Amino acid sequence: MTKTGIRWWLTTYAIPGLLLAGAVAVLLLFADRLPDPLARHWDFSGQPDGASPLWAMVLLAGGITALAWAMLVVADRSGTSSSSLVAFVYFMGATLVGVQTLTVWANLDAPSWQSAGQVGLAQIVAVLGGASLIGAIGWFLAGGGPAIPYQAPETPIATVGLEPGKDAVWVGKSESYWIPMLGVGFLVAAAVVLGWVGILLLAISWLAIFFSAARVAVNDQGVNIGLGWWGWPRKLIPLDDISRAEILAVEPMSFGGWGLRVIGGRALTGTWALIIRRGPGIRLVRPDHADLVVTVDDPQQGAGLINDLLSRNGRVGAR
Amino acid sequence: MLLCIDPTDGSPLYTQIAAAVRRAIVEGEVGEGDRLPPARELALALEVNMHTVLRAYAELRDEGTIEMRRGRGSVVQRGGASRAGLLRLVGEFVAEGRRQGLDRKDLIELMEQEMS
Repeated sequence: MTKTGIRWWLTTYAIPGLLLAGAVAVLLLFADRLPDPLARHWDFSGQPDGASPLWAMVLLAGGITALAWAMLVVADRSGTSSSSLVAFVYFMGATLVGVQTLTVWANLDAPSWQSAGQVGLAQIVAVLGGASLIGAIGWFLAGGGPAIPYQAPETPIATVGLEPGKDAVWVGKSESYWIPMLGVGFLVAAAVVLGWVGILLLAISWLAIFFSAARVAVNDQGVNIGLGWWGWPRKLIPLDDISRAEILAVEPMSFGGWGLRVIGGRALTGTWALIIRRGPGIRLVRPDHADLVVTVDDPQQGAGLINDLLSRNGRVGAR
Repeated sequence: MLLCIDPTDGSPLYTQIAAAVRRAIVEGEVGEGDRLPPARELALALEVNMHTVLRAYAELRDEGTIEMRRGRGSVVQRGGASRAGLLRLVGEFVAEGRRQGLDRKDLIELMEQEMS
């Protein structure tokens, strides 16, 4: 095995595997010194105020673990793994290990869950801090680096100078780093709060993971917009529906926040926006439909190619 | 990343895709250490089989322009841009030489003259 092969194996399988298995193992290791049910939730004063049977805790930790790892492996297999995804799984694994360790520590040798030790804000902050550090280590192990700063374009109508008789395609993406972190937050909260609220939190966390990246591809059929690192679900906007493409600097709050947004009224006159992060994006102007905005890195070329393909059909600027 | 393809070009599709990616690297659209788009994504956009794109990526890897790592995808190597630029000049040199009717021996001779 080569040096990079070992690093890849460590980054994708060994370390996250250990972290995530640790979340279950810490419960099982001390199983015979824990009360059953054991305290799993503490009120703001630090007193235990909720309990679950041990098997439910193990099942929950195991379930989240399996889901997170499966996500990383699927992304790796399909070649869509990224530093942010690795960091996200590491952060999540470390948070789980930390929360379960705290739980075990508070319950250790207690005769019943009501007499479990206190857990306060300081411990939670310590766990989140440690988990952030481990997330950062994952980010660097996976080869993460700083993002390229955005420069405002100078030309009003972007073009890439597509020569007659040539074909061209463009692929671009935008990623967010804090949206998946938010997803983890909700996921951890879902693990602590069982019941209907827990299921709701779980749903929100998966929604957050879908909206942590967008993929945009342009070819002579149209503009293909995909959700998530894996680019699914995706939607094709046919070139025939578009009159021109513009570059814009997206300020999420002016679209009402992040995610999939509708502003300016109804489907025909308003604007649909897929907002992953602040910064560069493309606006697709559509005369007979709502305009579309999507955040994307390096939008000059994407918008330029759309306009060049449109002017080849004699359509650019028509409205 | 913008990829230009000439449909009248007779060379194999994966060679054309590799050349298009090389151009994007030379012109700094994709910097050193940046990841190339996943092969599947590019294949969808180009409306070709994913293996055609993977073959193009393999060619870029073999010439030292990119690195392919499991879990990290295809990353432009340090020095990948100048490497790709040099290879592009060599490609142009050979194409122009052939157009002028020079054969392999003539081209090697020309290069040796230039280097002595």
